[in-house]
This record gives sequence, C-alpha cells and structure tokens, in this order.
Amino acid sequence: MTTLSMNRRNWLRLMGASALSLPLTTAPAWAAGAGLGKGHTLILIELEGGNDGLNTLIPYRDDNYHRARPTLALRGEDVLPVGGDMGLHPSLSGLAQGWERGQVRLVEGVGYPNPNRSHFRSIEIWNAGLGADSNETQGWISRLMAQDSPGLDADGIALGGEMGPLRGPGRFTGLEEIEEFFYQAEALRTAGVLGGYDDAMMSGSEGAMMGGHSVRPSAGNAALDHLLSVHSNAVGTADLLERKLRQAANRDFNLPDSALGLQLSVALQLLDAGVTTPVLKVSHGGFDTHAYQAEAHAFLLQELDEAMRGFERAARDMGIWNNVTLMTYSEFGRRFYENGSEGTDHGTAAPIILAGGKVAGGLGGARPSLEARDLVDDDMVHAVDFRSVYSGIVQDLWDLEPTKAVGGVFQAEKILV
Amino acid sequence: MKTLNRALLAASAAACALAPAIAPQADTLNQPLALEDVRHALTRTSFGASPADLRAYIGQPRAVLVGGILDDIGTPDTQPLPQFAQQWQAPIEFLYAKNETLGELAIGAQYVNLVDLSTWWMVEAMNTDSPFKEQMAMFWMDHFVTSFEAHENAHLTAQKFQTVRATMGGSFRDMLAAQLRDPALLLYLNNVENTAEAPNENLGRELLELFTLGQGRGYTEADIREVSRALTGYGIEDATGLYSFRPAEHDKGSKTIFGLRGNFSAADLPDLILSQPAFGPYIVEKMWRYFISDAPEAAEVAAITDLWRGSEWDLPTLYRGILSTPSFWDAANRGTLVKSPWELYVGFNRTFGTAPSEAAEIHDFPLSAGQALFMPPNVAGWNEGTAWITDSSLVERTAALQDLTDHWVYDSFEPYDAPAFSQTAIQTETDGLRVGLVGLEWAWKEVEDDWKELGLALSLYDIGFEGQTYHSLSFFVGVGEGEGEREVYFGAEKEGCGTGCPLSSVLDRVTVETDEEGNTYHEVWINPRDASDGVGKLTASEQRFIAALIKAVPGMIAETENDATWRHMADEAAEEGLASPSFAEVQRASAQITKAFARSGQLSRAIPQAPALERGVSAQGSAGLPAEVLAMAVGTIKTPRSDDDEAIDQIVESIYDTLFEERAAVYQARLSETFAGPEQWLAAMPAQAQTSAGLEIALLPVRNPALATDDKAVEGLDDLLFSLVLDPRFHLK
Repeated sequence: MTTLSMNRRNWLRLMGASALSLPLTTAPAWAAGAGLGKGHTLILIELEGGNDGLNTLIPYRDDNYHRARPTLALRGEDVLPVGGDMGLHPSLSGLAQGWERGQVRLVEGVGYPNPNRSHFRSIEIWNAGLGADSNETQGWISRLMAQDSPGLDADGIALGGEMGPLRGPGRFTGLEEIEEFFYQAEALRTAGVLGGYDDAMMSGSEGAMMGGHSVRPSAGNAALDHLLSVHSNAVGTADLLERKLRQAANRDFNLPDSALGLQLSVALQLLDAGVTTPVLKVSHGGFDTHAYQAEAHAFLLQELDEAMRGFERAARDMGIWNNVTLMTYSEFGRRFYENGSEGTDHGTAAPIILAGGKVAGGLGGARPSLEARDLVDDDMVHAVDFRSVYSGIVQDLWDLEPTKAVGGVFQAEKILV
Repeated sequence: MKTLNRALLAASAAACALAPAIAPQADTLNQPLALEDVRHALTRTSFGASPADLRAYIGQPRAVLVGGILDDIGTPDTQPLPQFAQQWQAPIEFLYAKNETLGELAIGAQYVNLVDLSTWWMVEAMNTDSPFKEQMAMFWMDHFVTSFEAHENAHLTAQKFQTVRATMGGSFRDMLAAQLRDPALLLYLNNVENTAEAPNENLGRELLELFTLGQGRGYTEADIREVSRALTGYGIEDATGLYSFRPAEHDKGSKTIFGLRGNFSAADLPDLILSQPAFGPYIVEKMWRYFISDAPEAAEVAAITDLWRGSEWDLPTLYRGILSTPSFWDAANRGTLVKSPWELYVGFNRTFGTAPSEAAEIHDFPLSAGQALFMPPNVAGWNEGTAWITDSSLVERTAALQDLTDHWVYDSFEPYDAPAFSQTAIQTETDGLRVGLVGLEWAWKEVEDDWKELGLALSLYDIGFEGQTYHSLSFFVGVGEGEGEREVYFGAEKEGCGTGCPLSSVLDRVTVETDEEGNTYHEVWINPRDASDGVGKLTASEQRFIAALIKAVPGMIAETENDATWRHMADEAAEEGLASPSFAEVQRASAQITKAFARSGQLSRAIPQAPALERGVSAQGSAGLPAEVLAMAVGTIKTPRSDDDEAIDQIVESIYDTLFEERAAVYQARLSETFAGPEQWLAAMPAQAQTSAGLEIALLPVRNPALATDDKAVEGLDDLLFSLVLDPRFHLK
C-alpha cells in the first residue's frame, strides 16, 4: 500500500512534471559546507489547514483530554513522553530524539485574543503579526526587514505556499525549483530591459547587493508597482543567487520525496551555496482534518518528522546546524472536543515546535487549562500570544528590536540558549 | 464571423438595454467606444480583444458591447465535454476490494481524466465565441470552490463544472440550491459526515462566510450551528457518486436561523439567506474585485445590489449591473488588476489568433504559473490579484510569453487527442446477460450439529440484460443441509441495489420488515417454491433475470479466485476464531445451488433456457478507465502485486503513452479568425491600431513612456510586438 500511495502522488507530478519535480541525482562526494555567512536563518514551516495541537503535544495524563476525544485520544503507552505529563505524537520520533539532545523547544498554548476560526482570516492574523483587530496584510517579517534589513542576499525566500509573513515590500522572493528559476530569469532580464526600467532595475539590483531597497519611483498604480517591484527583485535576486549556486556543488541531500522534503531540500541547496537570508519559508498542507483524522494526521506528522530529521542530518554535515532554527506554525489548533466524524473542527491555541542546534530545549509557554469551566466557547484559551514567540525569534536570532514587527511590546519567549 | 454577428445582435437590443438602466448608467452606456475602451472591456471580460472585436465595436455605444458580452451567457459549448464525464464514475471501492493495485491505478486514471477536463476548458476558452461565459464559469467555480485533490474523482469535478455552467445564467437562488446538492461540494466541506447525531459545521460555516453573506455580515455563530443542523443528512450515494438525502441522518428538530424558528431543511436555506437584508453586497463586491478594482465604491455597490435584488437575484442582471456601472469604465481603474495565468495564456492566443503548438501541453501553463485548474489551494479559492505575481510565477509567465512570441504559431495546433482508450473494451447490449465487473463481496459458513449452511454474496458492476444497462447489484445465494434435506436461496437487499438496479421491481413489492429493536430489513429472499412476503409471483422477465444470474454463479465465483476479499475474509475469521469457507468449498456450493434451482420450482424452466454470461463493459461502465485497468479488472490480463513496482511502472507508462500518443483527435483549435503571420494580423486591425502608439494602446492597459511610440505607421513589427508582449504591463488588465 505504501509503495502505491507514493506512486499515486507521482501522478500529480507527472501532470506537470516540469513544474513540480525536482531532479534528485545521486549524491556526489561531500564538498566542505559553505557556511551561512553571517546571521541566523529561520526556517518557517507553515502547517496549512490548522494543526491539531492537542494530538501533537499530548496531555496524555489529563482525563479531560480523554473525555473530549473519545476516538482520537492517544494513550500514555502510545505517546513519546517529554516530561511534564506531556508526550509527542508517536509519528514524531525524530523530534523526540532531538528533545533528548536538548535541541527541541515546545512552546505550549500559543494563540491570540479573540481567536478567529476562519482559515483565511486567522492565517492573515498570524502572518501580519498585529493581532485580531488589525486588517494589515503586510507580513511581520516584511515589516521587520523594512526597518532593519540585515543586508543579506534576500530578506526572505518562500519555497512553498503563500508569501505569508514575507508578503510586502522588501527583497523577498519565491522560488520553487532552482534550475527552472535560472532558465526563466533570462526571459525576465530581457523583459526588464524592454519594460523600460532597465536603469531602475540595475540600480535595484545593485541596491540589493548593497542591502538597500529598490529606488524606482511609484507609478501610482498598486498592481503595476507590485509587478515592477517583483520584476526587479526577481532579476536582482536571481543574479545574486545564480552566481552563488553556479559555483556550488549541486548536492543531493537525500531528503524524503514528499512536497515538504523537496522544499527543505531546496532550502539546503541555497544554504549550501552560501546564500544568505534571514528567513526561508516552506509549507506543509493538509491539516484541515474534519473527518477521520487519526490516520491522516499521523501521516502528516510523520512527513513533517522525516523531513525535519533529514534537514537536521544534512545541516549537521554542512556544519550549519547551529545557525538555523526550524519553527512550525499553523493558523489555529483544532477544537478541544472531537466532532462526530472522528475529526476535529477549527479551534484555537496550539503548541509551536522549534528545533535547531542553538535552540533552548525544553517546554516553553504555558499550558492552557482543559477544565470545562476554563474553556471559552468549548475551546482552550491561549496561554501565550504568538507575538511573544515572534518577539523571542527577532531578539534571539537576529538581535533586532521586535516592536515594529509585532506592533507592541510582548514578553519575549526564550528561543535560543 | 460570430463576433460581428454578436455586435449586430447586440446593437438591435441596445435600446432595450438602456431603457431600464438607472440614470448614471444610461450616461455611461451612451458613450461611443474608443480603441482603449474596447481593449479595456474585452480584456476584463473576454480574455482580450482580437482585430475583429476591435473593428466591430469601435465607434459603437458602450451599451452595444455590454449587450454583446451578456449574450455569451447561455450559448452552447463548442464541443462535447470529455467522454469520461458522460460515463459513470469509476467504481474505485469495488476495484480496491478486488485488488489494491487496481484501485490505485483507477485513482491514477482520475488524474489523467483531470488533464483531459483541464485541456477541454483551455481549448473551449480559446475557441469559443462566448468568452464571457468561460469567465463566469471560472468566477463561480472559484466561488463555490471545491478541489479535485480532496476526492481524487474527476467525475465529480466534471459534474460540478457542468452544474455551474448550467445554472450561471439563471437566478443565484437556483444556483445556490444546485450547489447545496453538488456531490463535490458536499464531500469537500464534509457534509457527507454531517448527521443529526454528529453535526459537522464545515459547510454551514462556509455557506454563510464564503458563499453568501460574507464574513462577519449578518449572521452569528449560533446561525452557523443551526444552518449546519438544517444541512444534516445531505450527502452522496457512494456507488454512483450521485447526490442523495438520508432522512435518518437529518435533524428533524426545530431550528432557529436568523431569528426565525422552523423545521428547516437544506431546501429552505437559499430563501432564508437571500431574504436577509445583509445579503447581496458581499457577492457584488467579490464580482467588483474580479472585474473592476480592488476598492468597491459603496454607492455603486448599493445601486447594483438594489438592481439585483429587484430582479429576484437574476444573475445576468447582476452581470449587467457590474458592466454598466461607471467605475467599470473609469479610466482610473484600468490596468489595475492582474491577469490570472489562465487569462494571460488564453488571452494571448485570442488576441493574436494564434494557437499553442502542442495542445497536449496547454493544461501545463496555468499549472506551472500557480493556477492548477480545478485545484484551487483552499476553500477561499485562488488568491487573486497581485498574489498571482511572485518571483517564481513571474518567470514562468514571462518565459511562456517569450515562447509564444518566438514562434507566432498561426497554424492550427496539433490536435490534442482525448482518451479513446476507454472505447477498447466496450460491448453493446444483446438479449443475454452481460456483466462488466464481478467481485466477491463475502462468503460465510455455519456448522451446527444437525445443520450446515454456506452462503456467498457477489457484487456486480455494469450489468446488461435484454438490451438494458444497469449500474450495479449485490445479491446473495446460499445452501443449507441437514436432516436429509437441502435448501437453497437467492436474495438481495435494497441497499445493494444501485441506481437503476435490475431487481428494483422485485424489491419494490417486498414487505419491509422491522425487528423488535426497530431495525428495518428491506430485502428479498427467494427459494425454488416461495418468495418473501409481498413479492408474489415473479414476472416472466424477473424470472429470466434471476435464472440467468443463478446459472452464472459458478462461473462468476471462478472469476473471483484472486480477489483480495478471500484474504480479508480469512484474516477476519481467524481473528474471531471462526472458520471461513475456502474457495473450493464455495465453488462446490455454488454448483449445488444452481442445480437445486434448476431441478424444481418457479425458476426450474428458466434456468436451462437462460443465456450464457457475457463479459465486457458498456460505454457508461467504462468509467473513464484505461483499457489496461479494465482488462485487469475483467481478468484478461494479470494484475501485478501491489509491491511489484516494476510491473506497475510499466502499466503507468503504457497509460501515459495512450494518453499522449494513441488517441483519437478530439480537441483542436477552431479559431474564428486566423492569420498567416503577424503582418496579416496587423493588417486586420482597425486603422487607429496600426500606428505604433495605436498598437501599444490596443495591447497595454498602461502606456510605457520608454517605448516612445508615436502616430506613425508601425515599423519593425516583430520587435515592437516583442516589446509590448514582454512588457510587465502586459500582465495587467
């Protein structure tokens, strides 16, 4: 069954082989790790659809949990204990090993006040980083970098899913396949020259190298501004990345052949080539488990675990494990009570997983109460604002001031040792 | 030329169009169309303006163009939908029960069929003289969103596509009612799991938040819960994929929706929602964002909403309102929206009268540029507007345009060959009994001191009998022996008698029984002398059908020898410490049963006369499955084991060869206007578009000063076209 299911996934790839497949050749001899340059890279892993936090980091000794989840609750003998009466889902064995080594941090009870249960609205809130009352769509990373661009090759690169936290002004780029990106960047260069802003583009490209922002004047048309800005960004970034990637060995990191594995593999290729960027964003979809959740959720977490494990192995080999931090996030957790379809509907607070060579291992945040009297609308109340986690990231990883990114002062969560 | 006819027809209707319009609209619509107006309106609504479009409309009042666009709705398609869409859905569960490999290959075939459907749509959008119809189909597919990936069933996707196309020219009420019965939507939003006992709110929430009222407008969380209760029990029939209502799962209690109390069901929801004062603006604004700008004008939205409400939510009235409102024509809004990948690609070809050189690759472009047709990313649909443009999508888009302008393919493209493979095994109905697929459903045995019994149930899919074709049937036969007696029986349950089952007439007569616990049994039992209460004497045709089935049982059993069910049965029996009948035992019993029925009783004469079983699938029953899969299902070629990767890869490869090489020509360009090359294309343009500045106006919504075009005749056409098409502004509309 496993073999065939994997084949089934390939049908989709066959449909658009040029777009979705990434050639994975046999591994050549290891070249010396090129290193990260300066700074620390955050790998954001978006768990799309709303990950069930209660079945990820499991309060397996809490009777309230077992009562609320008659078919979905995992028992003590199934979970991977992490202390504090909590255990990881059995699919997360790689993370459990990282936990033993003290390089995994689990921040409990993360959410925000007035939680919204719409996928789109809630991820917008997480992406913008300004809370439920703000309708801002610019991402928190974009706002942060507009203030404090560290002058690296790019302010952030999305390798899958929406731009999300990277949405907005700044030198952000989206890239799914490296070879394809080069090939097409050539057409883009031509178009830039023909499009009548080659001068601006050149200065944008040089500006990018110097860590500045595009200097092109606004055309007074937001769509055109966006197009021209993406255009010059794309050319500028492609020039920089191409130069580095062409000099690097195109190595195979043997990550799993899942969509997430392929994205993390591209992330490793970029880091291996010495591409410097504070944020790489990947996405892992399918967490909207309204029905018959158990098997699907176990599979999704297993894919996550295997991809993260492969990433860690390669990052250690390259000598950059201490310079990267992986962080999962999701628009919301699931409801406390399972529904009648052996699934769960849209809920509120959930844990965040952090992993990396410098991550301060242990439990962080605070545990939401599962007592019926403490629930609001039958759901858990968040114990930690996600902006506290963002603040910790901004301070610990980059030594920057988080107020602009999160629109206020939040008690920063501890992230790194 | 259809475009010209369209303009003339619309001109005669223009007076009528103006009459009911409100005053500012009348002013807006009276104005004569300049080159840039036609380019603007047609790029927004019809993928672009061809030379014929420009010639037809320049100088006419805007009302003529609006009328012409609206005439698109309701015109017939230029080509029949892909063949698979007219067949039954693939019996995937059935194939899985026989063999895992077959089930997986049948799912793989769904992806092949989706490529077929996507290509159909791209080609239709390029060929049609009614492009606005395709725009609206996209709008509504994206509104009542479902994704093929959620169910991996191309048949359901095609069914939804047809429902949208069939209802988008009527009232929103009817469209909404149809969507609440759409199997793909009921599956996508988990309503198949929404029951009185265990409500699932997914559809209830999105119905209010995304499909009708809009987030935070005029409903409460309590309304969501109550609407979800009204939606309980509406699901689909597994075997056929058709909509079905299960009264037992419906919450029959009283509900309070929007403050009204009543015993509401799904059928009441469209009226309840549409009578809310808050209904209207959300849809108008969504359409505004699709056709006009990112910033809906409150006053105009209110005017359009009033007009639309006054028409009892007639959709063409809404479309007319959007196209007639001053902001649609406002110069400030031009060039402020971004073409979707689909619009960009189809638009290029419609504008220049070109055709992609390889039709088989057409579906590939939107996929690479971030718009896999029929697979929107989530329940909010495509993330549109500037989100279409990312670094990676922009390079895909630019590279595709460069490719198109490098080649200027004006020949009709290589026909895309739609699947002919499912024809291979098709058999026409004869007077006898024909069956497409046979599977063992279960077999059981009971052994007691003085009595032993053995029974078996068979599933049939795609049955032909005396010239008629039926979808499916499960039936059982058994034999009991003891105290010197032998008894045989034949029977069927209503539940196993699929849509159009050939035993319907018998099951309709039978008396439904209820036991002390309230369980009902809708089933028929027949033995040589007797039948269940209510059945009475079998008609001659019923006798012939049942006799033919009983006669065929031993042969059918022989065919199930390799079915996975035998293994599952043995495993399950072992777990419970029971004996499970062996294949040989069942085979022996089936021969005894047939003999016993032939020896005496009401079927004894019909059995010897019954025709031999024929094997083969009907046109509907081939269900969009590749010939290889069908051949394995009927046993003419061997099914590889599920872990035999090499053999499976070979089959997949062979299916792909069939897909891309060995097909009958079906999809081809039928462009109303073609040219020998760019020079001829320019010559067909109206005079004002034949200068370099005119050409820029005809192709770009925002001028690019760096091009320094002027009012002189175009020189160096190829270079100018290249510059215009590769200009980033070409991505705007």
